[in-house]
Amino acid sequence: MSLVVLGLSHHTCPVEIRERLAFPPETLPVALARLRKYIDEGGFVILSTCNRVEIYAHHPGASASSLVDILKKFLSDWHQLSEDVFADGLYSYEEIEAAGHLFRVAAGVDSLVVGETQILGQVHDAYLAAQTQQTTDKIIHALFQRAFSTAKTVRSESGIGTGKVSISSVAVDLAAAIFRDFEKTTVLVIGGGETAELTLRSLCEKGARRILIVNRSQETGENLAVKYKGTAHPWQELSNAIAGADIVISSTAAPEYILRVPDMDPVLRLRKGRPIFFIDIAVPRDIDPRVAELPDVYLYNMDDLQHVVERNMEARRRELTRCIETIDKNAQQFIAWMASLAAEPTIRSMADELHQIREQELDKTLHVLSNLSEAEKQEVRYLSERIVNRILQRPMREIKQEIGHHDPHTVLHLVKRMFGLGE
Amino acid sequence: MHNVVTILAWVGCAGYVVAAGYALYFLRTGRQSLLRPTALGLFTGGFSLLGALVLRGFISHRLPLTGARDALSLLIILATAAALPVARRPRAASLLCFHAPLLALLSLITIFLTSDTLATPAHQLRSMPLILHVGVAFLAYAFFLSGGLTSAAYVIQARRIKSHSEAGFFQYLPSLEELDQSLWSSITKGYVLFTATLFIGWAWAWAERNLLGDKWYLAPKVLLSLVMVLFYAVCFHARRRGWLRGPQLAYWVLMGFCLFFGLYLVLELTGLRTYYFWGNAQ
Repeated sequence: MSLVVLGLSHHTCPVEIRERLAFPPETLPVALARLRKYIDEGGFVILSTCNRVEIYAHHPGASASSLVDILKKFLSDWHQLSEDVFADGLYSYEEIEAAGHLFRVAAGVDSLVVGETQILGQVHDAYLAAQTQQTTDKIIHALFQRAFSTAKTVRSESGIGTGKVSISSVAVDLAAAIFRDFEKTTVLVIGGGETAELTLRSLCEKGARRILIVNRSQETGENLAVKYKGTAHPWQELSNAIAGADIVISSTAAPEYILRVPDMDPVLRLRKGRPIFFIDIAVPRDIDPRVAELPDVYLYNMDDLQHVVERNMEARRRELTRCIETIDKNAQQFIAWMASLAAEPTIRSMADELHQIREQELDKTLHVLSNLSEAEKQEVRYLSERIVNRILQRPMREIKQEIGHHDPHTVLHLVKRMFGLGE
Repeated sequence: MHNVVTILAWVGCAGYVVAAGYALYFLRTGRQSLLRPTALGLFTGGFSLLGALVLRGFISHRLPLTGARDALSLLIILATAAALPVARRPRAASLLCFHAPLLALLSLITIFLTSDTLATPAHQLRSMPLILHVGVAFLAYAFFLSGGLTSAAYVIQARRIKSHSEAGFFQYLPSLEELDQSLWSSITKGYVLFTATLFIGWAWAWAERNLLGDKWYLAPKVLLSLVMVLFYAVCFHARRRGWLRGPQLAYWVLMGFCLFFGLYLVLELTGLRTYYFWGNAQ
């Protein structure tokens, strides 16, 4: 019985290789069906995301090394690539390491952005696709179920998922520390750019409805306004727009500050003490840092936001040791359970042997006690069954436990010798 | 019966301490699941203290409000009642965790204060207007206490955001807008009740002027109450007109609360609470 994972990820090879080995969702069912021709027994799952391509496989008879070779050949054949192209970036793990690897992946510990949650959904989708194609078996099913529960435990018992790790989400979090309800806040975007748009999108997802766009190019401003159901204003109306806004995302290409302390005086008078949050993601900066000293003004620039992201990332990394402890413990438990499956035929033989002895002795006894009624004979049968089952309980439990900690062959050999079972 | 009162007081204190423990753990970790036990601890604490107070009143056949321990207990109970409704507002619930440690501290103080023997007061001090005056005043103080704590939370939260220290012990406090709403809700209720209690008190003092002296209205406590009403009226006006808002106003409210609370304590401890400070009682 062998459990392996073969794959490559952002840790081991560049995107140029990963994209050539990826399995797009639409081809995944066909790929799974094709892989079934390579692995006739057992189960497997193909996990393909933008950061990794991995195949988890279990085979009841093949050795781990031969299973890995089969998977390599499949990858090469499916993508019509020579193994040399991707051999350097490949990694493979067996048994406990394979289980531990999947648990780390599902928990987001192995992700590019440590603690991200998207990967758990991707692992789930990969498992569902395999299940739909009936390429999972008892071991693969248990492995993935354990991976999902481990990911949940890791997330709830550690701080790996706390703190946002993207500029836009950090900005939204900061805005949420100032404003109660985004539906009632007005968001002003000055300029444009990818990060500004991402931040605006995040705010809209959180409920922001009143969007104002001010851009030097009227056309660009109007396009953005149409996209986010906002209103575009000419550059000359910037002061009025700021006075009416609660969150200002500034991202222009202006070489100098577009907003200074004197510009803010009339704005603040109009606002009558309502707080205003500036997100200055322009480089060079759009807003004079002295604006932050004004009352009711909260200003964060790109460096400030990046600093928060780094601090949150660091906090997540500090949690890694705790996460890995949980993952290792769960991987050990899983492998112990897997090993205990190997004991099942021996345990069944042992039980059969004892019940056979019971039946023989029972027949002799009932022959002697021929004056017993049918009901009394049945009662004696139940009694003998109960005694044998009680006797079997402890050895069964102990065998399963021992097999998880010692060499299964030695333990099973000893049991077979003790009970006179055939090899 | 006295033992039951003591046990209830200890149970109340334990409830507050447990709530404070959960609250501090919440402020450290931000786990939402800790908010419920915090609220439950405060509810248990307040309910037990109320039980102790009611039982004490039942034993002595009068309202137990003359001793420092009873007065503080009542203030804690009412402040808890004023704070607990935020637990039902998900976005403001974490504010409860800011209140819980102080309430726990006050409840610990009540345990170590000696419990006065309740003597039967003069018939004038048993009149309904006076009982109403004192009861409403305590409710107003409870709202001012809640408002004072919320203003402290506002100042901390505003400084935290302004100074870019996103992490830290107070990172899970509600948003500034939420704090602003809670703060002004508490202060408004406190203000209305305090004004009402002043009118009730004046009516009673006028009726009982023989007991309090003819210049009762010049007593330091009465003057302080008037200044307090004026102070909060100015705060309301400044907020409405937009002269003062946000952290500055919260800061003023906090300072005002500390000052008035401190002055009341000074008046109580130095015996200047007397109503015939400027004249003799007849």
